[in-house]
Amino acid sequence: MTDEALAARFAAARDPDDFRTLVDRHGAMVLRLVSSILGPFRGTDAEDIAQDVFLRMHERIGQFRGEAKFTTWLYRLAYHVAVNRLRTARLRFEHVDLEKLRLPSVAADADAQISTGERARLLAEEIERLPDLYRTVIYLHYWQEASIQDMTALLGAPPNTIKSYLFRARARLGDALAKKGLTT
Amino acid sequence: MSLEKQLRSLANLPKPAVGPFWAARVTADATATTPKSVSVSRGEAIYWIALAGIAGPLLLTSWQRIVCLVLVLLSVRFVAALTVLTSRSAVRRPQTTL
Repeated sequence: MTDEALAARFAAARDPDDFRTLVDRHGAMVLRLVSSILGPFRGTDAEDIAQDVFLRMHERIGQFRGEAKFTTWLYRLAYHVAVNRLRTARLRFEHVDLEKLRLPSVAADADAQISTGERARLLAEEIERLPDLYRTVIYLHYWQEASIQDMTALLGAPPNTIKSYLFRARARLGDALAKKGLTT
Repeated sequence: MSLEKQLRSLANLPKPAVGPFWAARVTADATATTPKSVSVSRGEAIYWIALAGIAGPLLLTSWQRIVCLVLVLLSVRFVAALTVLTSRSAVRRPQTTL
């Protein structure tokens, strides 16, 4: 059964089994999107917010008219819930556990004047400063290793737009890190 | 070190994944927290409409009465909000750092 048909049946009959099927099908992708909005250092919060997304989906399923794909509607809901939670909770960078910022693959860079931990911390800081959408595409692409196709589905934008977001986000990051002497 | 190389290193960070019982827990929470739809009988609806029709013109004749009405409505809404909050917190997982 398609997502749209399942969502329509759930809206009409409120059968928990239908709801659970939708959570089973889309839980992983919603968590992927939500955690990319929050960043890699807030894993537990991401799980809670992903749960919130489905609770809201449960409440608002009547608003899904079937005009768009169900996933488009759900991922848009997830994006707004996560961004709003991030803003209203005023999560600050200080909450991030700096121990986690020691990225494993750059550990061999012994010649660098700036230590690996410091480099990783500055990179994470600059990513945190990006606008929500740019930060999300960076984390989706580089941390979650999402393909352009997956990002297209998650963010509801055409592939060329996603590529453009990525390009601009990288350019901003590059400029910011170059000013600190962190890129070659 | 190039920006691309630094960004690629993000892939080594742990990625969150949904556990095996996550969907079951979300379903249980959603079912428990969904407010039941209130069904009002036709007779009851007529009663409330008639009461509002009579009480409205009586209450809305002076500023003191309007203030009283607003205070009563606000207190009813406040109590309702408290009830929803306490019932949700009983079944939801405790909040973390957010």
